[in-house]
Parts: sequence; C-alpha cells; structure tokens
Amino acid sequence: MTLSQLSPALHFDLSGALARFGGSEALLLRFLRRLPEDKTFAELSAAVSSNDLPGVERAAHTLKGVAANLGLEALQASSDALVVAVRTGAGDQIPTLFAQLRGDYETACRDIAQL
Amino acid sequence: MKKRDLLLVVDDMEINRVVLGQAFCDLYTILEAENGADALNLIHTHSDQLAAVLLDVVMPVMDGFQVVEQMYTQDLLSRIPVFLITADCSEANMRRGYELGVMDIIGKPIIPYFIRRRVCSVVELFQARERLSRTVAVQEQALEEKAQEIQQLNTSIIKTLSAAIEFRDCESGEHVQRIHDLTGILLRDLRHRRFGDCAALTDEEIDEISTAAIMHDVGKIAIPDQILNKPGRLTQEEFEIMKTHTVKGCELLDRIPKSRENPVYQYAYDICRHHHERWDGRGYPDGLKGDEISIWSQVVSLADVYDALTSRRVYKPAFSPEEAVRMILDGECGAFNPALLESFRQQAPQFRFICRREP
Repeated sequence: MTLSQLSPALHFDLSGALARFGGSEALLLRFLRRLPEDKTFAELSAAVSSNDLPGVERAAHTLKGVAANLGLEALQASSDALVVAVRTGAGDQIPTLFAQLRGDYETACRDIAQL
Repeated sequence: MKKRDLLLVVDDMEINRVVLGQAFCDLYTILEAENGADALNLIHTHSDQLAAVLLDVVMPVMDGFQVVEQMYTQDLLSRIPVFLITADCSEANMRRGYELGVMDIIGKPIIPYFIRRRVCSVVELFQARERLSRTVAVQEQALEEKAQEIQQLNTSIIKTLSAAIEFRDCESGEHVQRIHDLTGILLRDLRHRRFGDCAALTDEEIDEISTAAIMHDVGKIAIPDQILNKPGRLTQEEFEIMKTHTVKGCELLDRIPKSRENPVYQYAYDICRHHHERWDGRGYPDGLKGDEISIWSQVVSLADVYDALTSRRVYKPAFSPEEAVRMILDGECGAFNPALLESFRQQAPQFRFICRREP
C-alpha cells in the first residue's frame, strides 16, 4: 500500500502531512510507523478504564496533537471530542467516544502496517 | 556581538519537535528540549544567541505556562520572543498565554509556511529593536564625550585669555599660574584641617576652583592703560574705575557660550566679583562681611595679596617672603578669616616656594 491509498475513513491529509515533514516521504513514513508503538493510546485506554478524568484529558490531548501532525484527521477529531467531553463535564459520553476513537486508531494502525 | 541564530523547540513528543524543526532548519540551528526545566536551562545558557522559543503547553516536570512565567520574572521576554504551539486553542488558554507575554499562539497541526511567516516577522522586529538600542547606546556615549571635549575647550580658551590679559600689567603670564597653585595649597590645607565646607571638597572640586582662580582678574581688560599701569598712587576717581574690574570680569564671563553649565564658571563668577571683599566688610564691590564671602573667594583674595606683595609692580618694589607673611598675619595688608590665616601660616613655606623668583 502507498501513502495515497490509506483508508478514506481516516481522512488522511497527505499533502499537509508531507509539508510538515519538509516534503520527505521517508520522514513521514518513519513517524507514521511509530503510531502503533506510541504509549499514548495505552495511557488513554487505562485512564478511561479507571475513570481518571484528568488522565483522559491529558492523553487525549496528546494523541490529538500527534494525529494532527500526521494528518490523520479522523483520529484528531475523535481525540478532540474526548477532550471536550471531559472539559464540559460530559463524563457519561466517554465510553462511546472512546469506542469511536479506538476504531479510528485501529484502522490507522492496520493500514500503516501495510505501508 | 553574537548573532541570534538559534531556535529552541520545546515539546515532550519527539514527532512534534521534528515537525517544528523541519519548518525552520534552513534558517536556524535547532535546539530541542522535552520539558520546561530543560528548556529553561538551555534558555539561560544561550540567552544571547536565541532568536526565538517555540513552546508546547502540556509537558511533564514544568509546563509551557510555567516556563513563560519564569522568563517574565527574569526579564527575558523582552529580549527573546516566545511562541506557544498548542493543540488547545480554547479562548481561556489563549488569553492566559497572551497575558503572560507570549508573542503569538499557534495551533497544531502547524502549517510550515504560516508558522515561518509568523515567527520570522516577530524575530525581525525584535532584532531591529535590539540593533536600535545598541546604536542609541553607542551614540549616547559619543555625545557624552563630545560634550566633555567642548567643556575642556572652553576652559582652555578662558585660561589662555586670562594669561593674555595679565600681560598688560604684569611682566608675564605666570601670576595666574601662581594664584592657581596657591589656591590649591590653601584649599587642601583647609580640607585637611576639616574647616567648614572645605572638609567635603573632592580633588575634582579643588581643581575646578583652582582653575577658576586663574580668571579672577579678567575684568582688567576693561581698565584703561593709564590707570592700570600708573606708577603712582591712584586718585579717588581712578580707584573707583579700577574697582570695576570685579563686575566687568563677571560680565565678560557671562558672555561665554555654555558657561553656566560648567562648574568652573560657577566658581569663576564668584571669585571674579568677590576677590576684593574683606573679612571686616570694608571690601568691594558688595561690601560682604565675614562668612558672607565664599571661602574660595577668600582664598583667592589672600593668594592674590601675597603674590602682589612678593612681586615687583610698577607702583612698588617686591617685598621679601618673610615681610609679606608678617604683613598679612599682622593685618597690615587686607583683613582675613582667622582660620584662613592659620592655614596660611602653616603653608608659608609652600607659598615661598611657589613664588620664588630667579635672581
């Protein structure tokens, strides 16, 4: 699979991401491949499980930034939704929102494994 | 002067540091830190070379806001522009950033072209401001030096003028130099003996007063030759004209440009006007008495009398140093402050030395 063939569901902004890495596909690929190993998702998962709201906010915020830099706009959006939910006190929505995020994350990891 | 060619990128996620570095690596050497504490260390080490700091907000150990607060208290924000780079562009956050003094808040994900423009235009402003204040400091220094040169020039002009004026009624221009030296000797003695205000005189002030003493007779330029160089006793009328050399001297000094700003002239006006006053109030032009006469006018007055006594003049021969000392201490010539007479008595050998004549 090439970069331009990533799932449409991911809303991948290839040109934006490439620009951020100085036009270097190699550099972009290197950082995309790190996403599955990144511990932020694991931290987020743990925080959701133990209902650690500050932890959820922090991890979701970090994941949002990483996703944004990588051009993975769907993952960026679902991370942001979790951050907003914590901030607006809508704690009851977290499980649903986390499920959405996990879906986006796993789709991304699956595709990246095939690059 | 070091060039500001370093850019500090602070973020706990490596990917974010890489992305920011990519946007600027052709313009600056990139420094990286992964938390606020490390960032501050680097900022302190390189404070003269940093062009800007790009700062994430959420970080372990010390977050971005804390870094900015530290920089503010250490007065670094006016020298190094700080930009917050954050995924959280809520209004509350942005407001807080601006209140702390950051130059701009830039959202993630960054767009290289835009962040370059925003950062570089601020950096350019900061550097222009720094160059300007450096230039201003250099120019201020140069102006200060010029002002001093002008004052020194003024002083040497008047010294020359004073010596030249003296040529009319004395043999040489050395009388004014002797008055300069004698004035210094008496003032230092008075200071040593802690007499009144003299105790606080600085060496610089004593020099200024001694220089001012040189000008005490410049008013004589206005006195006609036949009076100035009359071999015999002056008539009452002639004496009245002669007395005006005091106030005429002040008028002359007044016309010198910028004289009021020069401390030497402040003393010179006083001495010019009052060096013929007497301790008993019977002097001229104002008839001042006792301590109404400034101590420096009193000093120059005594020096002038001693030098006149020990010099040959067109109307009298020179007296010996011993004779001159006796006449002054006995009150035969002039009336002086007893404390001043005491200094004079102590310094009589010095006076004799200064006023020695080649046989």
